[in-house]
Amino acid sequence: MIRFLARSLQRLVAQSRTLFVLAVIGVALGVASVVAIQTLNRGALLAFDGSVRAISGQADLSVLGVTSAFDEKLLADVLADPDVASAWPLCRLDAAVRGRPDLLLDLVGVDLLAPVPFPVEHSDEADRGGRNEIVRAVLEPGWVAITPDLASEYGWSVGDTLTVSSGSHSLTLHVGALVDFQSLEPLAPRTLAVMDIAQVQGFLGRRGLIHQIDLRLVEGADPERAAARLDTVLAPSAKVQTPEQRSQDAAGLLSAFRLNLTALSLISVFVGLFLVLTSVQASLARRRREFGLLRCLGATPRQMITLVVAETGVLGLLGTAIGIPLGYWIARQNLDAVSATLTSIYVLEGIDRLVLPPEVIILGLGVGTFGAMLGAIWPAREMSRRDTLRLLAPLTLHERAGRLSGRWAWTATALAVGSSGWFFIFGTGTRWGGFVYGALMMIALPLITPLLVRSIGSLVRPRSLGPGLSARNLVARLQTTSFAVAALAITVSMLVGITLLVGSFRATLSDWLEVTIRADVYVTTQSWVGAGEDAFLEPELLREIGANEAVEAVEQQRRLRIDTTDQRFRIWLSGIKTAGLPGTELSTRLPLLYGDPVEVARRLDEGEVMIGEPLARKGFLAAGDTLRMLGPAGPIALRIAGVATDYTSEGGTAFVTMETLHRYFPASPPNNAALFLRDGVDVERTVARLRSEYRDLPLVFRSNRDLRTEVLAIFDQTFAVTRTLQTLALLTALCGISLTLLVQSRERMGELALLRSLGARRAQIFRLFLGEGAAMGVLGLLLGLVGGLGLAALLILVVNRQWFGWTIRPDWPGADLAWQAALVLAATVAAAIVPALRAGLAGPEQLSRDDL
Amino acid sequence: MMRIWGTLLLVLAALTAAGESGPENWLKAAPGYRWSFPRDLAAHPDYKTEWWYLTGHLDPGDGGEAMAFQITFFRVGLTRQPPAQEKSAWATGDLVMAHAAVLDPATGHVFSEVVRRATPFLGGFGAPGDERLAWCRAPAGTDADWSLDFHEGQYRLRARDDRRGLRFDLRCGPGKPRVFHGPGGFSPKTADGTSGSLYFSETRLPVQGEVARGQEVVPVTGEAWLDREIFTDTLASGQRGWDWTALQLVDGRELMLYRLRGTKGGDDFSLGTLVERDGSTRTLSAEEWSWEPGRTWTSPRTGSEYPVDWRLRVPSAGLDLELEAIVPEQENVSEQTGIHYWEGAVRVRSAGDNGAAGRGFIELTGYGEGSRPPV
Repeated sequence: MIRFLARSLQRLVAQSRTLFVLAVIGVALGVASVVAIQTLNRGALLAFDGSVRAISGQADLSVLGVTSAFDEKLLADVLADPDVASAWPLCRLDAAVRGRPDLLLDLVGVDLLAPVPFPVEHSDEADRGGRNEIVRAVLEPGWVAITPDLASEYGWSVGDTLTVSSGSHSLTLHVGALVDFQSLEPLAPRTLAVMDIAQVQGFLGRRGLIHQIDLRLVEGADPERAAARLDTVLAPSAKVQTPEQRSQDAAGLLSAFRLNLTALSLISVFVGLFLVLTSVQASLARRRREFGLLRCLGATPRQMITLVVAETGVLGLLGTAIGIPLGYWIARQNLDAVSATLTSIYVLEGIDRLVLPPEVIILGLGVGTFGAMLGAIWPAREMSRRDTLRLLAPLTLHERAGRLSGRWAWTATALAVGSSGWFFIFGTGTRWGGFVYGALMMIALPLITPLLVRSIGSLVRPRSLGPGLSARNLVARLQTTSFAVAALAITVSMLVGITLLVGSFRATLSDWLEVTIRADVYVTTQSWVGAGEDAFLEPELLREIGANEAVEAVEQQRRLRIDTTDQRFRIWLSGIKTAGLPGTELSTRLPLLYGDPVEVARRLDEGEVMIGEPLARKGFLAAGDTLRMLGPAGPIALRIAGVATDYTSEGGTAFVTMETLHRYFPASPPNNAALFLRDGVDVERTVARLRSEYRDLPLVFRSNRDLRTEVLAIFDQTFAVTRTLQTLALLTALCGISLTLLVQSRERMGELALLRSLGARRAQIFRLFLGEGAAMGVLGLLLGLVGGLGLAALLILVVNRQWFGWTIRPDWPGADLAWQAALVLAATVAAAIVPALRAGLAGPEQLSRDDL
Repeated sequence: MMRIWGTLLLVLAALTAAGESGPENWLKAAPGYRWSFPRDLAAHPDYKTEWWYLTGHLDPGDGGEAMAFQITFFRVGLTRQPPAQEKSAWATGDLVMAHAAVLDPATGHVFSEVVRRATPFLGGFGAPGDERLAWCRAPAGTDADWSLDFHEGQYRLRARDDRRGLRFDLRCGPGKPRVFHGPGGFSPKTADGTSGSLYFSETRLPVQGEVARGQEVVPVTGEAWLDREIFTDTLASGQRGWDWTALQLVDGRELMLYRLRGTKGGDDFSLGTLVERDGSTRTLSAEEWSWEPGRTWTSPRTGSEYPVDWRLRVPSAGLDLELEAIVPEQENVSEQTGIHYWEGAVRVRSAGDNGAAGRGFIELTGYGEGSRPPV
């Protein structure tokens, strides 16, 4: 059997090289999309994991503040616990590096003197130097150890200096040592930089505060009991977590982001599987005589199925072999965009390096090989069940498809009605409902395709060798053409669905920015993106900026990351001190989901809180309810004054006045400021002047226009991967169309020869095939448009609200859609060119008796 | 992070080998120091290292076998100009290292240690005039402080390590007057006097307090010895370690002797002090006494072989004594710093009639691999 399989494969490749190559490419593209997305998804998690493991890998438990930092004296309480074997404090901050706008150092301050291994075995000279080097690391201002990778990337070496900033503070660092942290923890970020804790704390300007205490327990201690006991001792200002819990938290934060990408990549796989199915069917159709002969010679149906499935398995394996590296390459190309999304939207570690984890390779292998084999089983069974006579007769497969199209359409209708019924009665209540419903509808779409192709094609009455005949030919070859059309329809559904979603989202965001971004100039710091609440704007500096003659008033914002008391949500709590100018009152710019802005603003002044829509939806909270949060002095319960649309974070946001914030949290400088300029002042010129005036400080000035542009650029960056997936799916579908037509050009050699002998010119045959490509394109587009509208409605009205909590106003990005439709149509016609050229080669001499 | 620490420190060690060095601007211990009390009970940040070293023998009130204790607070200076602490309490010029041990012949020798950066909440040293001379948080797992206080002529020492079952709270003194070793309290450690320490002792401090004995806390009385040494350089490059002893003799005299051993074997420098019953002192030069090792004990943990019994002769004082370790297993092994040394209570017998002649302590450093003290 194996020898026969090898020979059979050889013949298959030799006789239909293009067909084989297209099928392999189809599998490769499907596998590539899955591998790319899973590699990026894993990369996102591993980046956080690597950072946690690099810093806290040896720790059994980590103590973290309910806000980012907490009192260092808690270290003494941790050390006093009977199960604690050792504990060490950490001070952490993300520092911007002057002259390297894309680089944020992950500065970790450790107590370098805690486990002092006195170099007692060294000679006297070495002893003296050794102590002094440690002393230097502790005492020399700015001493830092960085990774050799980072050093070589930026051309730094020991002794070099670099200026970093956190908030409006700057510090000159001296590279004291190059330490290959990655040799210990391969996923340790290359941006990891270690300093003595005193230096980092001093740099932060937050005396007495640390960010983390890592601890090891004595052997045999129960981590959960120890964590519970420590939680009680350290409450309310700190909490205890295992490193695994911290990684799980990050995974939870990213779950919606990851799931969406995974769902999109699965559409590519789905399309890829169609391609395999088409290719197998094409191959079977072409080889039906060979199989008929084999059956005559005594081959059993089981042997035939095994042969076909094994052949497809090899094809799948080849596709996988290309798809896995291709997927990894695609992941690398999208690394920066995804990394930027993680940092800017989720405030997590950016992806420092990508690895291709074994589980992703196995997944790719499974999807490519077993997916292909799965796709081959149904056509192989169909073929094996036929009697020998039918196998030896032409076109039977298509007749059968024609007969079955009605039954499939009924199945599709039943599936669509059943899943809709299920979804609207039960599915809306579950987070997975939308995805399940979408998947079922995507299965229904191809099932209904054959009937639609047959019905539409049958309406056409061809009178000559023109487009009419092209359309009718789709019906004649229903089994292969309907699969190609279905694959294209699914791809177009995805294209249209995502385009509508992204277009609507962008338009909604743009409107939201219009309402909320009202100041003329926004001031923040270079480290704000990563350091968040630890990046402060010094009050004196703000006063100085506020005293500028162009500035009429300054608004301040401070942001804190805190947990709700049930620890289900880690939210951003913003305190806002308004500028106090007429026309800039909060009531004029609250993007409320419902309610009276004047009333909500009044309630905010009275100490209530306004929450963002994602938190309201995920936490089932509404105006009048109470938001309960963990504060450094104990739980905080604030009445919710209103719910506002908010697109800054899917994790949840809440807003209070600065006065309310300082009632519950220690006063500290703001993180951001907004400037309202005097009437008649040129905003862009003022921004340019401020930038020039403060060029030596790590400040970032943006005009209102710049800020909106940047927010939308971040938005576009977030969807960069989606566009890649769309392209992959489209390429796969185009492969399907090309492959279908190629198969037909071969399969219909007799028919074409007859047409040629009846006087058809080569150009007419060429146009006939081109027409078939175009007809498939049009049908796929029409079906896809319907599917896409449904998908968009599902994504906008259900999935986004359930998973992200965002209300998106449906918008119709007509130009984008028209452009995409034209592109798809042009691409399908282009995909038909090679098959059409091949078909045109058919001559009257290829006419056989059988064909008559 | 501990692994990262480890790597970082390895790199620092490598840089060390490359010969990097820092500023050396500490004051050196030298003759002519003007002692002043209680000022000199407190820390001396101008010198690199100092210690408050208390050892003693205790008699339990329950009539059980005699016990012994040790508590030592070390100040390890990092810089003479400590960084300003207004931005961070971790910006410090000192490490605080503390060692405590209790010997109960019935249950054995228990050692515990703490190494911390001197910060207001982990440990530190008092300023002149402060009651608290030195303190640190207890080792992880114990909710307590270790401390050495001085109030109205009396020292109070507290140490506790619940995990190891070590706990004592003792009041010592007042006792015999302070004794200054070497000329004016400068105790040379080399023949040319280029390195040495400022050194005084309180040689016989009556003790009372309580000590944990198994699960119980028992009242104790006894006698302690306080050593106070302040220095920047002690061991010279040709020296490997030292043998030191402090004996409280039944005739009311005390004896302190030390010898610094050379790296190539043999004694490099030796000196001693004999304290008479009335508190007057006499410096004993190397020629006036001899010290012969007897029984040795090899540590199963470090492999170091220590001479734990000794024959001591001071003919000019009419002393011919046999020092015998109460138990040989009195090695202090510091897991945090890698240092190990033998600090043990000994019985003192008269060599002639084998009668009890006193009690004392012996300290043996620089025995075995990796044991050269970093001072």
